[in-house]
Amino acid sequence: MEPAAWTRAARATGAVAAASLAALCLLVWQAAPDWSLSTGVRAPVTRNLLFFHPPAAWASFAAYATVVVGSIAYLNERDPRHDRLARCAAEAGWVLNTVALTTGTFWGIQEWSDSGQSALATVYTEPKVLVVVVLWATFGAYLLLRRLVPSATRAARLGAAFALLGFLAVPASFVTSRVLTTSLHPDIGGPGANPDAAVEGSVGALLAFGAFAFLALFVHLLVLRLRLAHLEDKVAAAEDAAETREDAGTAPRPEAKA
Amino acid sequence: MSATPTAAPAHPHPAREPPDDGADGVYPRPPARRGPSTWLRLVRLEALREARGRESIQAGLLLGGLLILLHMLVLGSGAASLREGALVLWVPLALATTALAARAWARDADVGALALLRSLPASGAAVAGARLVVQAVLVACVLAVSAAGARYVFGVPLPPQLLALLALGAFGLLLVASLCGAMAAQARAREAMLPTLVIPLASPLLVTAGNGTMEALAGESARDALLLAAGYDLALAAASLLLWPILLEAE
Repeated sequence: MEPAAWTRAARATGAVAAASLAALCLLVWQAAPDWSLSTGVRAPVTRNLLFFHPPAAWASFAAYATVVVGSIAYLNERDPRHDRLARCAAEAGWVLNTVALTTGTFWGIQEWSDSGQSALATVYTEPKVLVVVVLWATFGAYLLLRRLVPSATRAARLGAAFALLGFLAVPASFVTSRVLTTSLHPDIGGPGANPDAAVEGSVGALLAFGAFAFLALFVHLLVLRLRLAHLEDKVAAAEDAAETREDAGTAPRPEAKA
Repeated sequence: MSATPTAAPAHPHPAREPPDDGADGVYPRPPARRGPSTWLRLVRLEALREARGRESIQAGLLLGGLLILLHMLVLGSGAASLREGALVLWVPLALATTALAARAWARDADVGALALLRSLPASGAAVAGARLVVQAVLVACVLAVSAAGARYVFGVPLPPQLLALLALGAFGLLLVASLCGAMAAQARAREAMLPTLVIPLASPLLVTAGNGTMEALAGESARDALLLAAGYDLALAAASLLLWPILLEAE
């Protein structure tokens, strides 16, 4: 894609993401139920994070799935564009994952603070949270590995292998934590749902809109990062060409001053 | 009668061109040979290398012993609770296995032998498999030291299902640590990279191991934990077969 096309794509996705996130904030402010009237809700104010925390987590899962698809495609075809897609999606996904972890922590500390141990320990040993923490650490390690491997092709190859291995650890963490321990976390769509996870019509609609808004944000972040990566590659190619010219002694000389 | 010059017979093992970029260069790779004899030769080669240098076993045993000592200093000796029992069994084992498995790859990176490994006439999976067999024997020694430390220093009982869980967990940790060690050896700051890569991937095993150990020590059945550890080991072994050729690929 040409630089102008990248700029147009970034503007369009940015407009959609900004508008949908602003609309989400407005809708949560205006239309979210009054949780203080609900029984069994200990933290009615932070409960509104429900409309930001699961959508951010779902968007990060979409980003990580993009990383895995890009990595498989790279290992099959060795096309640097696939690697660029995987790398950029990993960065966007890691940011969204951090948002999901942070919002979930604020809610969990208040909601689960009567379970007999430290609130932070309760949150971070909770099975479903543990899976998200493992994802966060896995793709953080992926990004660090990419940064610390000197050659670009080697970084792409090792990164793709690590992404596939990391994606194996995620379902394993999920199954492990679900089989071996009991979960406090609300399970919106799963079979083992907690009683407080039931989602009414308006809450469900808000949640779906939140998912759309955060997916739009992911697409915007991905387009921005891809545009930057495209520019980085062009600069690197220009530097390589200049070095080659210098080695060959054909570099254009600066004009002699009169 | 003048002697006519004749072409010299082709040498069965022609000299290969050295790498052109120093330690991490690429030797031309001969066609891969398959078969048990080639693989057994690789195992023997790996065992000889370890017997000469003893770097992996020293790294594993030293770290395992130091961690047991550290636990003694912090926890004191005597009977351990369920949580302490899981801690003193798995922390030395996990870290010593990681150090042991990664040492071999770090040594290869230090002496520029990764390029030689890539040039061996065998697939990457066979080369790594041979190394894993040797390392499995060494990990068994580390496991014996860790289990003995937990049993005799902290009084942790070792029922058969806990021993089975230790064996499955150690094997899974070895697979993860070896894969991550090969990756970290090709990166800068590999001492920091290694635990960063290993811990997220080993977390399903460590959660399973911790829960299963506490169940076994409490006299309950640890069947679920054993099944989960075996399943993750199988998945890791299958992924290793696919990933080793990629990790040891020449550039």
